Amino acid sequence: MTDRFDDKALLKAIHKGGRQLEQAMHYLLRKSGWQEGIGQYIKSKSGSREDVEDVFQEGVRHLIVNVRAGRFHQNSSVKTYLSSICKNLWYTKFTREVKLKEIKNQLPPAPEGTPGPEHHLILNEKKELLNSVLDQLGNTCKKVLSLWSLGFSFKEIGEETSQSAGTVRKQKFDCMKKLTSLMAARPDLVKALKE
Amino acid sequence: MKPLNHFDRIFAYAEGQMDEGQRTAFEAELSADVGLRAEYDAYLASQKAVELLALEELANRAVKDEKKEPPIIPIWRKRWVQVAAAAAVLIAAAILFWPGSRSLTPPQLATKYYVAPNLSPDRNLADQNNLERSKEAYISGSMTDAIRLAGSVPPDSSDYIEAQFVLGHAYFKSNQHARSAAAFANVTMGSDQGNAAFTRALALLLAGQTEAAKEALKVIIDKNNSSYVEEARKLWDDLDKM
Repeated sequence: MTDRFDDKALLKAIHKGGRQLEQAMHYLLRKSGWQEGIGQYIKSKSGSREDVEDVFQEGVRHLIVNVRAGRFHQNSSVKTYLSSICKNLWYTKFTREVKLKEIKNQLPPAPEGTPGPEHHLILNEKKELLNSVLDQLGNTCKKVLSLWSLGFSFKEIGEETSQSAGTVRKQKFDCMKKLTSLMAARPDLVKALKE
Repeated sequence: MKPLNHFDRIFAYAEGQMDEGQRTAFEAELSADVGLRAEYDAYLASQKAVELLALEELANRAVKDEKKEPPIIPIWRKRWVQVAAAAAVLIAAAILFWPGSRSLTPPQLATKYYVAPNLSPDRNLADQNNLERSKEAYISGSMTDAIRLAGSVPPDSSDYIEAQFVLGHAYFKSNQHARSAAAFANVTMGSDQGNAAFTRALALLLAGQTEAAKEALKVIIDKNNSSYVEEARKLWDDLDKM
């Protein structure tokens, strides 16, 4: 396994998905040492050790999903981008808990091209609403769709769900159809997600 | 669920399975046909929902990552490398467990001492009870769901203490050790109290709070009324060697 990733290798692995993405995540979470720097910032803004754990892990997940969705335009280094996501996550969490409002003014300006907090966190805002739909989807569908979204091959998904690659391919279609059908019955949610 | 009339075409379009002519025709129809547009918007919303599933899957994979070996690299499939690796493991194990030379790191101590909870969901209640659903989620390996469901049980509920026990273990498995310790601290009575107190000490240790972990162990040892007293003494001794 690669012990070190430069930005190019990291992005390539995340885009490739599947097992390579797992390696990239392992590096980000355990080997990069980036949590320490981000943690210092969060602690300096009244965050606790558990806040640092939470925010960094969530930040890495958002980084991966954003990169895969084409929302990272390489206007900054991956570390700077992740740091920006984590600070925004912390800012949102902090303000949501209404501890202090003035922290907004203390946020350093984000690098050019870096999406604002609302961009990173749109899913969080709608999470409860989405869960009400996703809960009707069934665990196998959830697993198949999430792994497909993360770039796992049908064969790899089949290994994880004890099914053949052909079955997974059909399931991906059927599950997406079911989810779209559930969404179509919730125009309020579709509208909220468009905004 | 709402019946869909255009899903096959929407899927083909979104998956890039249409040729240029088909794409152009589809896009023209998309701007003219309200029904098609509504279904397409629902598809786009579904993609957002799948992103949320991906975030949760990544959270679960991060948990598994801690103990899992790196993904297979072709060279490791070669016989001589496997033999060499096995020999190295044996040597490392011999060094690790040789009396007097033991000095384990916190993650190694956690692996050595962690006792998995014995969660038995009540299937009759699993549909409507968040505590039981959280147990199901924990057992199925979905720590994100377990945390969400156990964390939703309010403090005034009769299920609260048991839910905090599930929450503590789910956080532990999610490598959120400070949160794990905080949840276990709320398990103040019941049959899970011994396991909660001991696992809390492990969580504190993994959170880098070694002194707090020692204090937690000392409480278990001094009270001397738990089945974890002996384990607490052994862990205390191991901590002294660190």
